[in-house]
Amino acid sequence: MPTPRSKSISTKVTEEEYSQFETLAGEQTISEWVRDALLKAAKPSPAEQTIVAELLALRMILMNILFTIANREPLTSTAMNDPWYGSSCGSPPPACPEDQGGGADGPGSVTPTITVQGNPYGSIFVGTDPNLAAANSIFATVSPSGGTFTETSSVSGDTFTPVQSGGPGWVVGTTTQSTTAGDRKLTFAYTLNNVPASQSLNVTARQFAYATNNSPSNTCTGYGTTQVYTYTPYTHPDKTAVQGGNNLSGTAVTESFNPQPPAGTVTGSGALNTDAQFTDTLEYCSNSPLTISTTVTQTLSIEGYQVRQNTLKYSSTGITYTSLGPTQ
Amino acid sequence: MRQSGRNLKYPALLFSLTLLFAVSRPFATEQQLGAQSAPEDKFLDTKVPEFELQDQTLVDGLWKLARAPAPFAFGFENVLKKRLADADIPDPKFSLQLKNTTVRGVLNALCEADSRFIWSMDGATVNVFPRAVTNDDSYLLNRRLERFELKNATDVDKGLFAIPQQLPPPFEQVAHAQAGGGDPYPPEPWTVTFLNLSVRQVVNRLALRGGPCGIWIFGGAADFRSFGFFNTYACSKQQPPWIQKIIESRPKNPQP
Repeated sequence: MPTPRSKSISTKVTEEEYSQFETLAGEQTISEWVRDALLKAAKPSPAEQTIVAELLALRMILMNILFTIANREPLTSTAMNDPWYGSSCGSPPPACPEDQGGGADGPGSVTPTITVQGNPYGSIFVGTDPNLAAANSIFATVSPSGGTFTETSSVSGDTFTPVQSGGPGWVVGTTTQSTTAGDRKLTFAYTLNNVPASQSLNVTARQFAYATNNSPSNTCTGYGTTQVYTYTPYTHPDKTAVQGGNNLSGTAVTESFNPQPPAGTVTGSGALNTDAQFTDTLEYCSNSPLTISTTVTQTLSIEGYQVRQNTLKYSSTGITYTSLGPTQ
Repeated sequence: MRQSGRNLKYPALLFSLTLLFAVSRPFATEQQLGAQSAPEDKFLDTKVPEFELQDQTLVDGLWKLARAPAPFAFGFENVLKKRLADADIPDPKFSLQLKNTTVRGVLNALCEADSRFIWSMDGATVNVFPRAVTNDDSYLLNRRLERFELKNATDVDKGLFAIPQQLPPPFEQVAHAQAGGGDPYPPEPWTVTFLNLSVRQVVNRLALRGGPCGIWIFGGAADFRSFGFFNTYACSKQQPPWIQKIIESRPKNPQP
C-alpha cells in the first residue's frame, strides 16, 4: 500500500520565478512539478552516481601511481595495466574494490582515514633514553583497520619504533634538534586495499640546554652544609621549560666532578622526577667537626647535553656554591 | 563524633600489634642468595632479555639494573678504607654480557664478578654489602636497634642522625656527604616507630620514604662513614594522561 503524502512544504517566489516554473511544469501542476524536482535533488540519478564513481576511481589510480613514484618504488606493468590491484590485493581477492561491484569509494569500498596525535605540547625530545619514549610517542587512529603504515620525517635519521602498547603508534627517535619551533614534519601514511590516506604532524624536536634552580637554605643540623637544589630544565630551540605532563620521570641526569669531591663524599646521578625537574643534593654534614678544603667543578647533563656547571668550594664550614651557567 | 578514650583503647592495641607484626615479620631474618622469596621479591624473577656492562664496576651495574626492566630500590655498602686520608680502594672493573636472564640472575652475576660482595633482600629493597662483614656484629649496618623512633621527619637527615642517638654505646660517627642526585621526602612530617631492626633495615626504610625507588650508598672510611641518598624515579613511571585519553577516544571496534 502506498504511503500517503500528509506533509506540506511551502515557499515564497517572485512573479517572474512563478512564470518560469509554470512553463517548466507544462501539463503537470506546479505542485507536482516542484515535488518531482525536490525528490530528484534529494536522490542523484544512477548516471550521476556512475560519473562520480568514475571520477573517484580515476583519482585513486592517479594517487596510487603518484604514491608509488613518491616512495621511489618501481611502477610495474601489472600495476599500470590493472591499477586497481596492487601487491596487497593480487588477482581479484574478495576484499578488492572491483570485486565488490564498484570502484574506490564506490559501493562496497571504503576510503581509509587516519588521524595522528602526539603529546599536547607539540614536542619530541632529542636523545636515546628509554624514558623519553612516552613523550616521543605518536598515536594513530585509523578506520577501517587492517591496512599498512609508512612513516616519514622531514629530517633524515629520525626513527619510528612501534609503541609497546596502545598502538598503532610509534616512538620517534631523533638526534637532531629543531631549528625553529614546529619545523619537524612527521608524515604517517595508511594504505588499505591500495587506497592511501595520510596525515602530517608538525612538532618541535627539543634538546636539553640549560637549567634554572632555587636557592635552598642550609638544613645541616650538625657540622657542615646540607643544600638540596631543585632544577628546572629548559630546552632549545625556543628556551621552553620541560613540561611535567609528558612524564619524563626516570630520564637520567648525569653528574661529573673535577677534581673529585672530598674523600668520603658519595657521588651519584639523579633523574627527572614526575614534574620533569631534578634535585641535586650538595651535602657535607656530619655529627663530628669537618677538616676539608678543596674546590670542585660540578657538571650536570641530561641526555648527554650539559645543562649546568657549578663551582663547589668545600671548607671546614661546609660548601659554597657558585653557578657557572649556561643561563640560556 | 568524638570517640572516648575507652573506645580508642582496643583499636590502638590492635594497631600496635599490627605495627609490631608488620615491621618485624619481613626483617626477622635477612635473606641470602637462594632463600625463599616473599611477595615483594617477585620483581627478582622479571625477565632481563639483555644486560651488558663494559669495563664497569658492580655499583655501575646495580644502578643500571635498578632502572629497568623492573625498577627497584637498593642499598649499596662500599668496602671501607681504614682512614679517610688513605688511598681509595680500587673497585674492580669488568664486562658482562648476559642474555635471557632475570633480575636475580643479574644480581648473582654481579656478585660473582666482584666476589667481595653478597646480596640479600629486605622487603622490596636489594642490599649489596661486603661479604666480609656478613657476620660482624660490630659493623655499623649490622648493629641492631631494639626500638627506633622518628618524629616529624621531613628529610632523611633527621632519621640518619637519629640512628647513632638511639643506638647503645659505643657512639657511632655518621655523615651525610653527597654530591649529586637526591631522594627528597614528601612535605608531610613523618612519625614512625620500628622495632628490632638492623641499622641497614632502618636505612632502607629511611630511603624508601623518598620514594619506592629510593637508593642509598654507604662509603667513606672507618673513621668517617658517610651516606648518600638517591632516587631513579623509575618506579613512578606512568603513562602520561594524554596517551590514555587518545587510547580511550578511539572507536572500540573499528570495522574493516
